[in-house]
Amino acid sequence: MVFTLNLGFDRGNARTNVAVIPDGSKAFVEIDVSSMIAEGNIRRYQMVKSGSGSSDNASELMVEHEGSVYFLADFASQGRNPTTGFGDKNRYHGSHTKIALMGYSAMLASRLGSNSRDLVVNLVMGVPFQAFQAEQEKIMDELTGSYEFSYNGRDFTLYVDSIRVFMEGAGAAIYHGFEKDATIGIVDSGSLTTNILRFNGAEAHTEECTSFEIGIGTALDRLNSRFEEKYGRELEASEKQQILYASLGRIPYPDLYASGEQVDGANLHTWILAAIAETGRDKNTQIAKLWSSQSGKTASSFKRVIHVGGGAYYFHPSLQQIIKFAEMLPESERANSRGFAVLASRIAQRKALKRA
Amino acid sequence: MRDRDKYYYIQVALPKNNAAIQRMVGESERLDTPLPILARQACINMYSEDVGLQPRVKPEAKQEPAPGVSVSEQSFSSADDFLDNL
Repeated sequence: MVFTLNLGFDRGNARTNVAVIPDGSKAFVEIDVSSMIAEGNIRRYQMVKSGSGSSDNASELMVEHEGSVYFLADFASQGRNPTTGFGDKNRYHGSHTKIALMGYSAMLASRLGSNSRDLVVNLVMGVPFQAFQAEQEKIMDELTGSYEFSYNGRDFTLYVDSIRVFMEGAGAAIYHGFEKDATIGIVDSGSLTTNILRFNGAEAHTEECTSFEIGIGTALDRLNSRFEEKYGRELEASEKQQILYASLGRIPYPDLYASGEQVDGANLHTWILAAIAETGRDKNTQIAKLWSSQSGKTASSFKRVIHVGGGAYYFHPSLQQIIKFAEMLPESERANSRGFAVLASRIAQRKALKRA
Repeated sequence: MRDRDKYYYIQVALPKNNAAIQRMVGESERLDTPLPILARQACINMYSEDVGLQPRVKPEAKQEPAPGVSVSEQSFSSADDFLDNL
Protein backbone atom coordinates (compact mmCIF):
# COMPACT_ATOMS: atom_id res chain seq x y z
CA MET A 1 0.00 0.00 0.00
CA VAL A 2 1.43 3.36 -1.04
CA PHE A 3 1.14 6.39 1.24
CA THR A 4 0.92 9.76 -0.53
CA LEU A 5 2.06 13.09 0.87
CA ASN A 6 1.33 16.40 -0.84
CA LEU A 7 4.21 18.26 0.68
CA GLY A 8 4.94 21.96 1.12
CA PHE A 9 8.70 22.26 1.61
CA ASP A 10 10.53 25.41 2.67
CA ARG A 11 14.19 24.61 3.10
CA GLY A 12 15.65 27.64 4.78
CA ASN A 13 19.32 28.16 5.50
CA ALA A 14 18.71 28.05 9.25
CA ARG A 15 15.45 26.11 9.59
CA THR A 16 13.41 23.78 7.44
CA ASN A 17 9.62 23.95 7.52
CA VAL A 18 7.51 21.19 6.04
CA ALA A 19 3.72 21.05 5.96
CA VAL A 20 1.11 18.64 4.71
CA ILE A 21 -2.70 18.60 4.72
CA PRO A 22 -3.72 14.98 5.36
CA ASP A 23 -6.51 13.52 3.20
CA GLY A 24 -9.90 14.33 4.64
CA SER A 25 -8.48 17.02 6.92
CA LYS A 26 -8.47 20.78 6.73
CA ALA A 27 -5.60 21.34 9.12
CA PHE A 28 -1.85 21.36 8.63
CA VAL A 29 0.52 18.79 10.08
CA GLU A 30 3.90 20.44 10.27
CA ILE A 31 7.59 20.05 10.97
CA ASP A 32 9.78 22.99 11.98
CA VAL A 33 13.38 21.90 12.55
CA SER A 34 16.96 23.05 12.26
CA SER A 35 18.33 22.61 8.72
CA MET A 36 21.46 21.01 10.15
CA ILE A 37 22.54 17.60 8.81
CA ALA A 38 25.66 15.76 10.00
CA GLU A 39 27.55 12.57 9.19
CA GLY A 40 26.43 9.96 11.69
CA ASN A 41 26.99 6.30 12.46
CA ILE A 42 24.73 3.51 13.61
CA ARG A 43 26.71 2.80 16.78
CA ARG A 44 26.43 6.38 17.95
CA TYR A 45 22.70 6.34 17.17
CA GLN A 46 22.21 3.19 19.25
CA MET A 47 24.23 4.63 22.13
CA VAL A 48 22.19 7.82 22.19
CA LYS A 49 18.94 5.94 21.79
CA SER A 50 19.73 3.63 24.70
CA GLY A 51 20.65 6.64 26.80
CA SER A 52 24.14 5.33 27.55
CA GLY A 53 26.11 7.67 25.33
CA SER A 54 24.66 11.06 26.12
CA SER A 55 22.45 12.90 28.49
CA ASP A 56 21.07 15.05 25.66
CA ASN A 57 17.38 14.91 24.90
CA ALA A 58 17.71 15.52 21.15
CA SER A 59 15.10 13.58 19.20
CA GLU A 60 16.68 10.80 17.24
CA LEU A 61 16.47 11.47 13.53
CA MET A 62 18.64 9.20 11.44
CA VAL A 63 18.61 8.50 7.71
CA GLU A 64 20.69 5.78 6.03
CA HIS A 65 21.05 6.17 2.28
CA GLU A 66 23.48 4.55 -0.17
CA GLY A 67 25.76 3.26 2.57
CA SER A 68 26.01 6.53 4.48
CA VAL A 69 24.38 7.51 7.76
CA TYR A 70 23.09 11.01 8.49
CA PHE A 71 21.83 12.68 11.66
CA LEU A 72 19.26 15.42 11.09
CA ALA A 73 18.05 18.57 12.83
CA ASP A 74 18.97 18.88 16.55
CA PHE A 75 20.30 15.34 16.44
CA ALA A 76 23.01 16.58 14.02
CA SER A 77 24.85 17.82 17.12
CA GLN A 78 25.61 14.14 17.82
CA GLY A 79 27.30 13.66 14.43
CA ARG A 80 30.38 14.91 12.57
CA ASN A 81 30.70 18.00 10.39
CA PRO A 82 27.15 19.32 10.89
CA THR A 83 26.13 21.74 8.14
CA THR A 84 23.06 23.55 6.88
CA GLY A 85 24.48 23.46 3.36
CA PHE A 86 25.07 27.21 3.65
CA GLY A 87 27.24 28.43 0.79
CA ASP A 88 26.77 25.26 -1.30
CA LYS A 89 25.67 26.41 -4.75
CA ASN A 90 23.84 23.09 -5.27
CA ARG A 91 22.02 23.30 -1.98
CA TYR A 92 18.51 23.29 -3.46
CA HIS A 93 18.99 20.05 -5.40
CA GLY A 94 22.05 18.42 -3.79
CA SER A 95 22.33 15.62 -1.27
CA HIS A 96 21.52 17.92 1.68
CA THR A 97 18.04 18.63 0.34
CA LYS A 98 17.52 15.00 -0.72
CA ILE A 99 18.38 13.66 2.76
CA ALA A 100 16.05 16.23 4.36
CA LEU A 101 13.29 15.25 1.97
CA MET A 102 13.69 11.56 2.80
CA GLY A 103 13.86 12.10 6.56
CA TYR A 104 10.94 14.50 6.87
CA SER A 105 8.68 12.57 4.47
CA ALA A 106 9.19 9.43 6.57
CA MET A 107 8.72 11.40 9.79
CA LEU A 108 5.42 12.89 8.59
CA ALA A 109 4.15 9.55 7.27
CA SER A 110 4.92 7.96 10.65
CA ARG A 111 3.20 10.79 12.50
CA LEU A 112 0.15 10.34 10.32
CA GLY A 113 -0.01 6.68 11.33
CA SER A 114 1.15 5.15 8.04
CA ASN A 115 2.72 1.69 8.20
CA SER A 116 3.55 1.72 4.51
CA ARG A 117 7.17 1.52 3.41
CA ASP A 118 6.32 3.05 0.01
CA LEU A 119 5.89 6.81 0.07
CA VAL A 120 4.84 8.97 -2.85
CA VAL A 121 5.55 12.67 -2.56
CA ASN A 122 4.04 15.42 -4.65
CA LEU A 123 6.34 18.25 -3.78
CA VAL A 124 5.91 22.00 -3.89
CA MET A 125 9.11 23.72 -2.92
CA GLY A 126 10.17 27.31 -2.48
CA VAL A 127 13.56 28.77 -3.39
CA PRO A 128 14.80 32.37 -3.44
CA PHE A 129 13.61 34.39 -6.43
CA GLN A 130 17.03 34.45 -8.13
CA ALA A 131 17.42 30.67 -7.77
CA PHE A 132 13.84 30.24 -9.01
CA GLN A 133 14.74 32.06 -12.21
CA ALA A 134 18.10 30.35 -12.70
CA GLU A 135 17.63 26.82 -11.36
CA GLN A 136 13.96 25.88 -11.47
CA GLU A 137 14.34 23.22 -14.18
CA LYS A 138 17.54 21.84 -12.70
CA ILE A 139 15.96 21.44 -9.25
CA MET A 140 12.98 19.59 -10.71
CA ASP A 141 15.22 17.28 -12.79
CA GLU A 142 17.59 16.50 -9.95
CA LEU A 143 15.02 15.79 -7.24
CA THR A 144 12.52 13.76 -9.28
CA GLY A 145 13.09 10.04 -8.85
CA SER A 146 13.04 7.25 -6.30
CA TYR A 147 15.10 6.92 -3.14
CA GLU A 148 15.77 3.80 -1.06
CA PHE A 149 16.59 4.65 2.54
CA SER A 150 15.93 3.83 6.13
CA TYR A 151 14.59 6.26 8.71
CA ASN A 152 15.43 5.43 12.31
CA GLY A 153 16.05 1.84 11.26
CA ARG A 154 12.83 1.43 9.25
CA ASP A 155 13.10 0.85 5.49
CA PHE A 156 11.35 3.13 3.03
CA THR A 157 11.19 3.80 -0.68
CA LEU A 158 10.35 7.37 -1.55
CA TYR A 159 9.00 8.18 -4.99
CA VAL A 160 9.17 11.89 -5.76
CA ASP A 161 6.40 11.82 -8.30
CA SER A 162 6.00 15.47 -9.22
CA ILE A 163 7.78 18.66 -8.25
CA ARG A 164 6.80 22.26 -8.69
CA VAL A 165 9.28 24.94 -7.71
CA PHE A 166 8.15 28.47 -6.87
CA MET A 167 9.74 31.55 -5.42
CA GLU A 168 9.89 31.84 -1.64
CA GLY A 169 7.18 34.20 -0.52
CA ALA A 170 4.62 32.83 -2.99
CA GLY A 171 3.61 30.23 -0.42
CA ALA A 172 3.06 32.94 2.16
CA ALA A 173 0.93 34.92 -0.30
CA ILE A 174 -1.28 31.89 -0.91
CA TYR A 175 -1.53 31.09 2.79
CA HIS A 176 -2.54 34.68 3.55
CA GLY A 177 -4.77 34.95 0.48
CA PHE A 178 -4.64 37.20 -2.55
CA GLU A 179 -6.73 40.35 -2.87
CA LYS A 180 -8.76 40.37 -6.06
CA ASP A 181 -8.02 43.46 -8.20
CA ALA A 182 -5.54 44.76 -5.65
CA THR A 183 -1.80 44.64 -5.18
CA ILE A 184 -0.14 42.94 -2.24
CA GLY A 185 3.56 42.83 -1.43
CA ILE A 186 5.37 40.03 0.36
CA VAL A 187 8.59 40.66 2.26
CA ASP A 188 10.09 37.29 3.21
CA SER A 189 12.94 37.82 5.67
CA GLY A 190 15.13 34.73 5.89
CA SER A 191 18.40 33.92 7.56
CA LEU A 192 20.49 34.40 4.44
CA THR A 193 18.11 35.91 1.88
CA THR A 194 15.32 38.45 1.69
CA ASN A 195 12.70 37.93 -1.01
CA ILE A 196 10.31 40.66 -2.04
CA LEU A 197 7.39 39.84 -4.28
CA ARG A 198 4.61 41.90 -5.78
CA PHE A 199 1.31 40.29 -6.73
CA ASN A 200 -1.36 42.04 -8.79
CA GLY A 201 -4.33 39.89 -7.82
CA ALA A 202 -2.96 36.34 -7.98
CA GLU A 203 -0.41 37.16 -10.66
CA ALA A 204 3.23 37.78 -9.80
CA HIS A 205 4.49 41.08 -11.19
CA THR A 206 7.98 39.70 -11.79
CA GLU A 207 9.60 43.04 -12.67
CA GLU A 208 8.98 44.03 -9.08
CA CYS A 209 10.11 40.78 -7.49
CA THR A 210 13.66 40.08 -6.39
CA SER A 211 15.83 38.46 -3.77
CA PHE A 212 19.01 39.72 -2.18
CA GLU A 213 21.46 38.20 0.28
CA ILE A 214 20.80 40.22 3.39
CA GLY A 215 19.26 38.45 6.35
CA ILE A 216 19.62 37.49 9.99
CA GLY A 217 23.04 36.06 9.12
CA THR A 218 24.16 39.54 8.08
CA ALA A 219 23.18 40.95 11.47
CA LEU A 220 24.95 38.07 13.24
CA ASP A 221 28.13 38.73 11.23
CA ARG A 222 28.00 42.35 12.39
CA LEU A 223 27.52 41.24 15.98
CA ASN A 224 30.45 38.86 15.65
CA SER A 225 32.75 41.62 14.34
CA ARG A 226 31.95 43.86 17.32
CA PHE A 227 32.44 40.98 19.73
CA GLU A 228 35.78 39.92 18.23
CA GLU A 229 37.02 43.49 18.22
CA LYS A 230 36.35 43.82 21.94
CA TYR A 231 37.05 40.31 23.25
CA GLY A 232 39.54 38.86 20.73
CA ARG A 233 37.58 35.74 19.89
CA GLU A 234 34.74 34.81 17.54
CA LEU A 235 31.28 33.86 18.72
CA GLU A 236 30.21 30.26 18.23
CA ALA A 237 27.09 29.61 16.15
CA SER A 238 25.09 28.53 19.22
CA GLU A 239 26.18 31.68 21.12
CA LYS A 240 24.98 33.88 18.26
CA GLN A 241 21.60 32.14 18.27
CA GLN A 242 21.23 32.57 22.02
CA ILE A 243 22.02 36.28 21.79
CA LEU A 244 19.53 36.60 18.93
CA TYR A 245 16.71 34.96 20.93
CA ALA A 246 17.67 37.00 23.99
CA SER A 247 17.23 40.20 21.96
CA LEU A 248 13.50 39.37 21.78
CA GLY A 249 13.36 38.88 25.54
CA ARG A 250 12.60 35.16 25.17
CA ILE A 251 15.61 33.99 27.15
CA PRO A 252 18.26 35.75 29.24
CA TYR A 253 21.52 36.74 27.57
CA PRO A 254 24.04 33.88 27.90
CA ASP A 255 26.97 33.98 30.32
CA LEU A 256 29.96 34.17 28.00
CA TYR A 257 33.68 34.28 28.71
CA ALA A 258 36.68 35.39 26.72
CA SER A 259 40.10 34.37 28.06
CA GLY A 260 38.67 34.05 31.54
CA GLU A 261 36.96 37.45 31.45
CA GLN A 262 33.18 37.54 31.78
CA VAL A 263 31.46 39.23 28.84
CA ASP A 264 29.24 42.16 29.74
CA GLY A 265 25.62 41.26 28.90
CA ALA A 266 24.82 44.94 28.32
CA ASN A 267 27.33 44.96 25.46
CA LEU A 268 25.66 41.96 23.85
CA HIS A 269 22.28 43.69 24.10
CA THR A 270 23.52 46.94 22.60
CA TRP A 271 25.47 45.24 19.81
CA ILE A 272 22.74 42.86 18.67
CA LEU A 273 20.13 45.64 18.57
CA ALA A 274 22.53 47.85 16.59
CA ALA A 275 23.36 45.00 14.21
CA ILE A 276 19.66 44.30 13.58
CA ALA A 277 18.90 48.00 13.04
CA GLU A 278 21.82 48.46 10.65
CA THR A 279 20.90 45.34 8.67
CA GLY A 280 17.27 46.47 8.60
CA ARG A 281 18.37 49.75 7.00
CA ASP A 282 20.29 47.83 4.32
CA LYS A 283 17.20 45.75 3.60
CA ASN A 284 15.05 48.86 3.41
CA THR A 285 17.38 50.42 0.85
CA GLN A 286 16.89 47.42 -1.43
CA ILE A 287 13.12 47.33 -0.90
CA ALA A 288 12.75 51.05 -1.54
CA LYS A 289 14.83 50.76 -4.71
CA LEU A 290 12.26 48.38 -6.19
CA TRP A 291 8.98 49.53 -4.71
CA SER A 292 9.31 53.32 -4.41
CA SER A 293 7.16 55.69 -6.41
CA GLN A 294 8.31 59.03 -7.81
CA SER A 295 7.10 60.68 -4.63
CA GLY A 296 9.67 58.63 -2.73
CA LYS A 297 7.07 56.62 -0.81
CA THR A 298 7.51 52.86 -0.71
CA ALA A 299 4.71 50.50 -1.77
CA SER A 300 2.27 53.38 -1.58
CA SER A 301 -0.10 51.90 -4.19
CA PHE A 302 -0.21 48.48 -2.48
CA LYS A 303 -3.25 47.43 -0.50
CA ARG A 304 -1.20 45.31 1.89
CA VAL A 305 2.39 44.39 2.58
CA ILE A 306 2.81 41.12 4.44
CA HIS A 307 6.02 40.41 6.34
CA VAL A 308 6.90 36.71 6.75
CA GLY A 309 9.88 34.45 7.44
CA GLY A 310 11.85 33.88 10.62
CA GLY A 311 13.56 37.25 10.19
CA ALA A 312 10.26 39.11 10.48
CA TYR A 313 10.49 38.77 14.28
CA TYR A 314 13.62 40.93 14.20
CA PHE A 315 13.22 43.21 11.18
CA HIS A 316 9.53 44.15 11.38
CA PRO A 317 10.09 47.42 13.28
CA SER A 318 12.65 48.53 10.70
CA LEU A 319 10.38 47.57 7.77
CA GLN A 320 7.64 49.71 9.31
CA GLN A 321 9.96 52.69 9.12
CA ILE A 322 9.45 52.72 5.33
CA ILE A 323 6.10 50.88 5.09
CA LYS A 324 4.02 51.85 8.10
CA PHE A 325 1.11 49.61 7.17
CA ALA A 326 3.24 46.46 6.80
CA GLU A 327 1.73 43.54 8.75
CA MET A 328 3.57 40.58 10.23
CA LEU A 329 1.80 37.23 10.07
CA PRO A 330 1.61 35.16 13.26
CA GLU A 331 4.01 32.17 13.05
CA SER A 332 5.52 33.99 10.10
CA GLU A 333 8.25 31.38 9.66
CA ARG A 334 5.62 28.78 8.71
CA ALA A 335 3.65 30.82 6.17
CA ASN A 336 5.55 29.59 3.11
CA SER A 337 5.43 25.88 3.87
CA ARG A 338 1.72 26.15 4.70
CA GLY A 339 0.94 27.92 1.42
CA PHE A 340 3.02 25.42 -0.52
CA ALA A 341 1.14 22.55 1.18
CA VAL A 342 -2.17 24.11 0.06
CA LEU A 343 -0.77 24.39 -3.46
CA ALA A 344 0.47 20.77 -3.41
CA SER A 345 -2.95 19.61 -2.27
CA ARG A 346 -4.70 21.54 -5.07
CA ILE A 347 -2.25 20.31 -7.73
CA ALA A 348 -2.86 16.70 -6.61
CA GLN A 349 -6.63 17.24 -6.78
CA ARG A 350 -6.38 18.65 -10.29
CA LYS A 351 -4.25 15.68 -11.40
CA ALA A 352 -6.76 13.22 -9.92
CA LEU A 353 -9.64 14.99 -11.67
CA LYS A 354 -7.76 14.93 -14.96
CA ARG A 355 -7.14 11.18 -14.62
CA ALA A 356 -10.82 10.56 -13.85
CA MET B 1 12.06 20.84 27.39
CA ARG B 2 12.22 22.72 24.12
CA ASP B 3 9.51 23.08 21.49
CA ARG B 4 11.05 24.92 18.53
CA ASP B 5 12.35 28.16 20.01
CA LYS B 6 10.26 28.07 23.17
CA TYR B 7 11.47 26.57 26.40
CA TYR B 8 9.16 24.95 28.93
CA TYR B 9 10.06 24.03 32.43
CA ILE B 10 8.00 21.19 33.76
CA GLN B 11 8.20 19.85 37.24
CA VAL B 12 7.32 16.18 37.35
CA ALA B 13 7.34 13.62 40.09
CA LEU B 14 8.39 10.27 38.74
CA PRO B 15 5.47 7.89 39.08
CA LYS B 16 6.19 4.50 40.52
CA ASN B 17 3.60 2.50 38.65
CA ASN B 18 1.46 2.53 35.54
CA ALA B 19 -1.63 3.83 37.30
CA ALA B 20 0.31 6.88 38.43
CA ILE B 21 1.60 7.62 34.97
CA GLN B 22 -1.90 7.31 33.55
CA ARG B 23 -3.11 9.90 36.07
CA MET B 24 -0.32 12.24 35.06
CA VAL B 25 -1.11 11.88 31.37
CA GLY B 26 -4.77 12.46 32.15
CA GLU B 27 -3.94 15.73 33.87
CA SER B 28 -1.71 16.97 31.08
CA GLU B 29 -4.33 16.34 28.42
CA ARG B 30 -6.61 18.96 29.94
CA LEU B 31 -4.37 21.68 28.58
CA ASP B 32 -5.30 22.75 25.07
CA THR B 33 -1.78 23.32 23.69
CA PRO B 34 0.84 21.19 21.97
CA LEU B 35 2.59 21.03 25.32
CA PRO B 36 0.68 18.02 26.70
CA ILE B 37 2.06 15.75 24.01
CA LEU B 38 5.59 16.84 24.82
CA ALA B 39 4.91 16.61 28.54
CA ARG B 40 3.44 13.17 28.21
CA GLN B 41 6.44 12.08 26.16
CA ALA B 42 8.81 13.46 28.76
CA CYS B 43 6.97 11.77 31.61
CA ILE B 44 6.94 8.43 29.84
CA ASN B 45 10.58 8.63 28.85
CA MET B 46 11.69 9.72 32.31
CA TYR B 47 9.65 7.01 33.96
CA SER B 48 10.90 4.37 31.55
CA GLU B 49 14.53 5.34 32.01
CA ASP B 50 14.13 5.46 35.77
CA VAL B 51 12.82 1.92 36.03
CA GLY B 52 14.96 0.58 33.19
CA LEU B 53 12.17 -0.07 30.69
CA GLN B 54 11.96 0.75 27.02
CA PRO B 55 9.81 3.86 26.52
CA ARG B 56 6.20 2.74 26.20
CA VAL B 57 5.60 5.30 23.44
CA LYS B 58 8.36 5.77 20.88
CA PRO B 59 8.68 9.48 20.09
CA GLU B 60 8.54 9.58 16.32
CA ALA B 61 6.46 6.48 15.68
CA LYS B 62 3.41 6.92 17.87
CA GLN B 63 3.34 10.56 18.72
CA GLU B 64 -0.02 11.94 17.74
CA PRO B 65 0.11 15.10 15.64
CA ALA B 66 -0.77 18.16 17.67
CA PRO B 67 -4.02 19.80 16.61
CA GLY B 68 -2.94 21.72 13.53
CA VAL B 69 -3.74 25.19 12.27
CA SER B 70 -6.81 25.10 10.02
CA VAL B 71 -6.56 25.81 6.32
CA SER B 72 -8.79 28.70 5.33
CA GLU B 73 -11.05 28.66 2.29
CA GLN B 74 -9.25 31.82 1.19
CA SER B 75 -5.96 29.88 1.02
CA PHE B 76 -7.57 27.19 -1.14
CA SER B 77 -9.14 29.71 -3.52
CA SER B 78 -5.88 31.69 -3.69
CA ALA B 79 -4.02 28.50 -4.66
CA ASP B 80 -6.57 27.94 -7.44
CA ASP B 81 -6.23 31.53 -8.67
CA PHE B 82 -2.44 31.27 -8.57
CA LEU B 83 -2.44 28.03 -10.61
CA ASP B 84 -4.90 29.49 -13.11
CA ASN B 85 -2.58 32.45 -13.63
CA LEU B 86 0.58 30.44 -14.35
